[in-house]
Amino acid sequence: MSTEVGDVTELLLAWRGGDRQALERLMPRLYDTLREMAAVRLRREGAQQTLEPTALVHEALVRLLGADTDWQNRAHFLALAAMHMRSVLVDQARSRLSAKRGGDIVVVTLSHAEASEGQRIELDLIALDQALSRLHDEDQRVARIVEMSYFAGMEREEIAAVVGISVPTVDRDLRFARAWLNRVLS
Amino acid sequence: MPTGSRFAQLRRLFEEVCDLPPEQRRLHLEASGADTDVAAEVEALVAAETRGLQRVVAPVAAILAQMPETELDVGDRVGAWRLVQKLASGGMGAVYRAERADGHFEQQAAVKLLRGIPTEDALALLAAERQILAGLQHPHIARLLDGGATPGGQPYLVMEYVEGVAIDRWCQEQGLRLKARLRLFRNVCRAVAFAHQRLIVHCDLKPSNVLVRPDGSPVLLDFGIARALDRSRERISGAYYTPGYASPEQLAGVPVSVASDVYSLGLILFELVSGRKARLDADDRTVTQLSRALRRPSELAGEDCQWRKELRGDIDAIILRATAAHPGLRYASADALAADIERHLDLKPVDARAPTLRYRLGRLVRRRWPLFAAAAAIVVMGLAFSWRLVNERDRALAAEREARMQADTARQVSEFLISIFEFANPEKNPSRRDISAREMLEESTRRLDGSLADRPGVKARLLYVLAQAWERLGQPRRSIDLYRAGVAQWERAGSEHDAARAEGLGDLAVMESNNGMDREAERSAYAALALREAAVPRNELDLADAWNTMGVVLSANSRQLDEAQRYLEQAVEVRKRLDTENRFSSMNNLADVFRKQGKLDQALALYRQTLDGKRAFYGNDDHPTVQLTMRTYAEALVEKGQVEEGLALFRRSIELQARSEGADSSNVAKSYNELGSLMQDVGRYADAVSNYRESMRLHAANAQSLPALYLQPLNNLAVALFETGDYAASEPLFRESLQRRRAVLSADDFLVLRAEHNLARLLMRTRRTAEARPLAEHALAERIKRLDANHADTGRSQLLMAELLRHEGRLDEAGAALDALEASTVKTDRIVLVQRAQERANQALARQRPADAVAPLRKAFALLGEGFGKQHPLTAAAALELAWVLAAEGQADEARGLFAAHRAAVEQVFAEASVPRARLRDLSRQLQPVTAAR
Repeated sequence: MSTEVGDVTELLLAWRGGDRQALERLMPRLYDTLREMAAVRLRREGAQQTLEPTALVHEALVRLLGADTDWQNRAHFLALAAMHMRSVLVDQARSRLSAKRGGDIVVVTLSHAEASEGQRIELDLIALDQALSRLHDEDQRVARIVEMSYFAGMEREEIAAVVGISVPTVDRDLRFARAWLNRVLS
Repeated sequence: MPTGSRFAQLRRLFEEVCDLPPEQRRLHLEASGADTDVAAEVEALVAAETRGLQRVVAPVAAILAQMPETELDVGDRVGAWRLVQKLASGGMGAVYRAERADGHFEQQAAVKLLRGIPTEDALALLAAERQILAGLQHPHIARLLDGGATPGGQPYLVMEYVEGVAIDRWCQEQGLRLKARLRLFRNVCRAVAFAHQRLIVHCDLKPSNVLVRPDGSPVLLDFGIARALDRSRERISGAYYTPGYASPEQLAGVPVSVASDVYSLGLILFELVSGRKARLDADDRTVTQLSRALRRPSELAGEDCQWRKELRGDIDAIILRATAAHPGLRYASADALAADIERHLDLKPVDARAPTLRYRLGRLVRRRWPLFAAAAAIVVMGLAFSWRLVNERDRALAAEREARMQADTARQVSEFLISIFEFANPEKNPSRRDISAREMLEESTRRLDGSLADRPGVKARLLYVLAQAWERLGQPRRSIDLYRAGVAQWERAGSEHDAARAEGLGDLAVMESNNGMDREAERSAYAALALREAAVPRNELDLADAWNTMGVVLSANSRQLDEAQRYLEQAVEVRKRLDTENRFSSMNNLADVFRKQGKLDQALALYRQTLDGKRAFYGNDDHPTVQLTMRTYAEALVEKGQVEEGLALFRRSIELQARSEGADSSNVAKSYNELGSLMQDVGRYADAVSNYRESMRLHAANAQSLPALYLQPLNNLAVALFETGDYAASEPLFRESLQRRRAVLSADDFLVLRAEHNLARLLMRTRRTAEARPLAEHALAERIKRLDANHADTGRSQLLMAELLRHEGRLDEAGAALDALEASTVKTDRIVLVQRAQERANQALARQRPADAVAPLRKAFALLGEGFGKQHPLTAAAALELAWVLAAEGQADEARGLFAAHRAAVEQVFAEASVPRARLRDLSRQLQPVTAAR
């Protein structure tokens, strides 16, 4: 993928210069990189349990971006990518679910005890998405920080810089979010 | 942060108490004055916090883990195909039933999405393998139709969709008796052998890869796919095969060859006749017992096997031989396996038996088994038919000799193929893991060069196989060299092989002719004809073949059309009288000759007759040869001036072609190129350009299209733009064309020379004579060396040299060169004559003698008008050139007339910076005031 770094840098510059669509154009690349990496890892290790998703996503993003990108730029890019990553994965889950159900519209509640085992993963992810949306309604910042941490594997220092708060505040937000999400999803 | 809400309250309290021990936490919450349910919620949050976030992480990991497989799904489009139904998924990827998504026609296919995302190199290798596999066409082998990579980089293969059931299920469901099973299996072996002869091994034969159609015919799936994938994959994981049916050497990761397929066939046969699986699980000992010949299949067969007894003897021996642990102990080929089954069915002694004798004589007998088998057969025959007459026995002995020779040939061919497969085997040869079809061909060619010196007949056959493979890879010169070597081998093999030699010479002649080697083609065609004429007894059909070839060769480049006509008429007469299918090709060829001779009415009548005949013969318009005649007929119609009718017919033929071959087939791309060329002929340059572009687009989009094919529309596009004076647009195309041709062809190939010539002409016209000269000189020198002295291309080069001299200001030399050319006997056509006249005029202008330019310009104008029509843009350009000189000579009235009649055509077609447009601007300036004054 190294040949694409140049394009990515240009798109990134365009995005920094105010071109919102540049990021949209970057996303398919991100998805490809991710898929490729997941595939390689699966081949190598042969089991999904060994996937460390946050690390994988983070590595994919950094690889896409090129290692020598300025730290600040990188953090801003990662923050936005986190949001996209979340929707990519949720879309993925939804489409799989609808395919399994023969195209029905998926309506899930936060509790899905009735769901069959085969759909658990998708439903779990959609439940997480819905919980995050609810968290977003209550406290936008906390929800964004969760996204950055779990969907883009960002370091707390990077999150702090992007959001404009201190590192201890990030820690506190994450700690509360963890408690709240666990509670809502249990 | 909001402060008043319940959420904010929870958050605040959580922060306050989360690090406190439980007792203090309870006290703090009580003291805070919060409601009891809020306090309870905070407690719950604190408890939840310690649980980690598995619920968040787990689904993300799971979705990621399943991504590679689920990139595409039912309803998605892959290339020209839409996935309709998932048929299976496994280690290799997922298989879908698919339909054509472009709606042109209905066609089903099986699309195999391959797991894992390979590197760019691996994709390129896979594409090369696909090219080879696409050539594998046999009624019992599912065809590879298409392939490529999804936008996400996941490779896929599109295969013929076979409606059928796995062979083991079929045998069971149909309740087939033993003999029927054996016959079915023999057909499977024959199909496998067919592929082996084309250097393709299956490597993953198993019952689920052998389907049986409702009509009872078997079809092999996935031929060569495993092998192709293996070669194009990264190192990370092992080979693609199904362990249950893999040979011991495959499992051990040592060299794989045709013998591995023989082994898998042996296991399939075992399952079909014994009614049980050969390998139920990893610990199953059946396979070991078979491959070490510890127990016989008849002993291993299930209790309920109805024909257990019948397996004893022949079938036992056949299965044990096919499944022997050591590859060298198995049948040398799938054909040999099939032959043994056949012998069993015909109640003849099978080759696999008599192990006692075999083991005693050991390797010696094995090496010489055909002799041994023949000897045994002769003894048997002697016993059974001793009452027959002597001459009858002699004939039988001759037949045995022939059979022995064929067996020997088959063995030598397989040995050669095996050595090639071993070379290409990545396990044995790790440094060559990424071996491509091309490299394999290189290596085959190299090896064959030094081997089989004592078996010229075998060598000749292999040379032809390689020649065809090189031709498919777009390397005509390599192909021609091998055809020639093959012909030489037949010659060495002796006069009893003259028929094979003549056939090879005929193929060679056509190849040479198609590649501009007219003289060589003529020699080959004559040699073939001489052999056919000398044959005793003479065979009329063979003679007709030779005459047909002569006709094709002699009419190439419009050289000896009258002679070509005579030969073709003879061929048509014989083929018509004997009512052969190929009579139509000779008729079509003859019509082509009439067309080249300018006998358009005769040509049209014969095309019509050919088309009607083909339609009646094939029953519809779907056959490619019907469409071919439609296109040549359409071209003749356009030439005759029935432009609209001709173009409509041509378009219709493209529609039909797209329907039967797929809109993205490279043949459709070729047809767009021809349509473009037709448009260009009638002066519709804009249409021509868009058709060439369409052709290029299709070629570029089709991974199976050969690079050489893309060059045709590329070059035509460049010429079309050049002719309309758009030098800036055509220059990069000419350069690309030359560069690509040089990359794949030799420096003296006629196509390279043409590209050099074209670029030189463009450079010269844009005043870059220094760059133009070496190209022009090289093209001329090589053409003189390689082509007939009178070849039209040589004349074109000489004309270009004259033009170049003029541009360099060497006017005397330019004049002399032109005089010499006009005095020569070099072949010309209308365009060349026009160009000579124009050069004559340009020389006069360069000498400041415009009066001398008038006559040649009139001639050019007249020639173009007659040949292309008054409306043609080239005619219009010539008219303006004439008008421009006439105006300068004071003949304003005539100039004005020409100007008025032709200005529109020039304005419409020619580029702003072109010479005709410059003339147009000059003329409007010079002629306008006079008009105004009147």
